Amino acid sequence: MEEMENNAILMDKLTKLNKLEIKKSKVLAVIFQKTTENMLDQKLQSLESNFKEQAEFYGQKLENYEDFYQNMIQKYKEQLLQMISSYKELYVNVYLELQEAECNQKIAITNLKKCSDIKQKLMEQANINKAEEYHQKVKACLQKKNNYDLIINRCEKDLENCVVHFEKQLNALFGDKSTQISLKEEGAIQKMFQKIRNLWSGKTKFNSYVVEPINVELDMMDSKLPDIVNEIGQKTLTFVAKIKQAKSETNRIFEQMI
Amino acid sequence: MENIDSIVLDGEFINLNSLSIEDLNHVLKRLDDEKIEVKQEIDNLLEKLA
Repeated sequence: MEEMENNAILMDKLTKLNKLEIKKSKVLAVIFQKTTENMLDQKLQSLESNFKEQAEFYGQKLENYEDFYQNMIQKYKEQLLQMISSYKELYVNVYLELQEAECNQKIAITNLKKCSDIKQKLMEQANINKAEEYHQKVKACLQKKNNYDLIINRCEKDLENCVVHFEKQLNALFGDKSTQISLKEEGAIQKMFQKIRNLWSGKTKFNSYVVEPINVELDMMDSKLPDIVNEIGQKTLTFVAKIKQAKSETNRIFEQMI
Repeated sequence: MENIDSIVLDGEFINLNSLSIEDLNHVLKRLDDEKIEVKQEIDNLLEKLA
């Protein structure tokens, strides 16, 4: 009677745990999705508004730079999307390892309960030797469950870190364009002088201080990105290899114990 | 039915997409706390069995 009650309680707790894990993974996925979307919008918007403000400052009409502007936005967006895509790959791989670890842990817990029930019956039948064998199996299952706790914690930490690292790396590589604005002439006289200066050299300065640096930055990023993407890919492979190793180590310990 | 972007919390459907990242982090913290509690209960049960 007590055995059935314990079975029901354990099943109830495992079901609760499973539901919480599913909910948690959904929340984490939406946080990651929203963070990437927000960052993409933020970076594109600051580039757009910075370019417009600079054009205004140097007295340049945006229509004259339409092709450059569209090309710049397109290229910048492609570079940002490349970064996002490699982080998504990392995220999905960590998540898959987490899901498998959570599933394996539940199997270990269920096996522990089964072995414990068998041990109990063998004790009642005074079959001490066999009961001892199952007692050992119970201990092995408990160890396996505990080892999976460590693997799960590591995966969860890495899932959360994936969002943090993504934000940090994106900010480091794609600086805040809204802060890269030329000095603004505030007073009426300064504005008038700027207008006069723009008549003589506005176009040249806009090309030298805005268009050219953007071109250089985009080209630099084009040459840097493959290495960065490759680095994130390596990070993904290293993570998966480490977790696979921890899982096989967990199985090895289990086999050794039974 | 729950779909990919919604969860049930306190008996109510919550559309996760409608929440800010800050609110999502609050939900996450709460789920974490609940999870720790359930895991502790499971550990207590397993301790008895072992």
